[in-house]
Amino acid sequence: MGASPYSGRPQRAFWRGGVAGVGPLDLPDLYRPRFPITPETRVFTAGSCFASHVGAALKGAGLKVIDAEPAPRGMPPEVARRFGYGVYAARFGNIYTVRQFRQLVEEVLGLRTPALPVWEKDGRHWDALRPGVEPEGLASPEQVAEMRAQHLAALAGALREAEVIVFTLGLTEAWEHRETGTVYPTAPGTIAGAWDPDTIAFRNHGVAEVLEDFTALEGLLAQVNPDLRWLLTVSPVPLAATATDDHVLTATARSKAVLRVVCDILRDSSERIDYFPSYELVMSPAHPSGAFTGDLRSVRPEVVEGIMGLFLAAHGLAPLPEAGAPAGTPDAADAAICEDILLDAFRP
Amino acid sequence: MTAPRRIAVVGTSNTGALKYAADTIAAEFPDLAVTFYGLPGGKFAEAAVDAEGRFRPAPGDAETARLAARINGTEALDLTEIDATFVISDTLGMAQTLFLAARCDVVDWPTRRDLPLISAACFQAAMETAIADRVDLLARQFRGVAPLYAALAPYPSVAVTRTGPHRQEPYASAARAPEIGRVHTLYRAALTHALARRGITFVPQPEETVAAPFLTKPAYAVGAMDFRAEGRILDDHRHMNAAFGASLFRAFALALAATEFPTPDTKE
Repeated sequence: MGASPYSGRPQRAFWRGGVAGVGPLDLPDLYRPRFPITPETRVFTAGSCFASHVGAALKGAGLKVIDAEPAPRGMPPEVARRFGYGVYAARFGNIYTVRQFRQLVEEVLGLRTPALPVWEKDGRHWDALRPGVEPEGLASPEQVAEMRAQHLAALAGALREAEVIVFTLGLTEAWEHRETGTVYPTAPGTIAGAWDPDTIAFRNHGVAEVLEDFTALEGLLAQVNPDLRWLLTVSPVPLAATATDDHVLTATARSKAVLRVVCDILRDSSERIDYFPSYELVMSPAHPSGAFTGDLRSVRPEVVEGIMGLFLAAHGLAPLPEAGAPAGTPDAADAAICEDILLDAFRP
Repeated sequence: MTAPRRIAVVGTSNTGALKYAADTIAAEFPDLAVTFYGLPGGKFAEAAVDAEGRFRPAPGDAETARLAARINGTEALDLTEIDATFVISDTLGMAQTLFLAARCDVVDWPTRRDLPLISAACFQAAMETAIADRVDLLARQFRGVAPLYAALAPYPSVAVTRTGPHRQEPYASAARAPEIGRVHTLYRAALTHALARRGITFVPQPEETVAAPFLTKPAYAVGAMDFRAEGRILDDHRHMNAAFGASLFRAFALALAATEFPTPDTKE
């Protein structure tokens, strides 16, 4: 056989032997960390609901995962989780879009005041920028403001302290205040608030917008934390619903494709940015019975565990999972908290 | 003449306060025949009613069984022979509630100490969950036993401190919390409700013994004796004396009087 540019390529370059014929989570040399994460690294986690698995795994491995608003002593773990304690670096809840993260950092730095920051329902009041962390809402808009001020102060410290931000990009679809551009993690009317199309507009961000948002976000944080590095992932969790005219499957593929492309562009643009292929590991056709549970959205716990095991092993923080070894089944309480599943209630 | 009602006082080391008040109780309540059965806190938590209705240490725990026999004169207490059971339990989520009260400001309440803010809904959920965890255990331990009454372990005395020999966190810290009275009211209401949902009547610590929310008057701690060995004074401000025991039993007797249950003559 004559010479070919594929001659001498490693096993990882070929589907057969790289994916086919090996276990779904035994992919050889899939992830090559660009920078090390050690037990001493101060890790800040954020992102869509899949990101909560990342934080839990890193904590489980004994890493210094930042928790700027820890659950107070005496709070049972299940209550803490329900109220957004210990899920991410601070109690900001799920950050589904890059613009949402950018906006949050702008607010922390005093560069932005969100529009319509309080949503009301049945006499209770929710922080519109993190409606999931107080499931029952608060008694007044003033309480929302007071708790948000304390949250932002804690978050500011966490952002300065972080060495690596592990950010899981989840969605491109967003709900935006027409006049100011403020985006919200959920559509008004889902958890609280009122849906008013004259005030709120639907946006489906494209590659250019997500890139612009991330570049702005990175630049803002570099001013206060110049050594910060980023580890990006894309959430494999499909959209619960789309507000586009597309089928939800098409909309999901579009959304994930945009985010995946953005990650590649960003990784190529800076040595400070890395990408971990959790999305690929879940979507791989190598899973004999699929990577999702019966709802076809939630990633099976053993798959999550396997993925995080690969991540930790790549950083020398855990031994490589044994090929084909059945993973343990994490506690059901580890299930990610995703507000977007509430959209199911609006099905016909 | 009606036979006396048979009462079991069962619980942790805090049963000692009632045990040492046995003479007082017998004099005040001649219509009640009281049996005492206590185990050290950790061992009490592992004990439960078996298939024959006998409250006993965990199966296979021969050491605790021997201890039970030495302290109580029997390894197991047959609760089928008892008309009403009064459990002197553990702190039933009180410690977790007080840690929260000591270390957080509740945004719905007026005072601020520059502590982390939590919502009243979160505080309530945390308190109710902490209580439920312990009350569920209690209900499992005494499955099938009725009527069942429960008291908390006594509040420690006001002499407890944050550090030192009478260290009792979080009681000492929470005592300074500005909203501690409100917390006390909320806690007692939540505990009463949680117990009632499981068919258990709550017997609150008598007001005459309470110095401040979650704290007992120091006089009730003086001379408290080890329930395992008569004559050994504890002086730990955690266990209470016979005067406290008599007072708590009176509170139980009031609750008992308010309950209709089969008399010894009719109970099957």
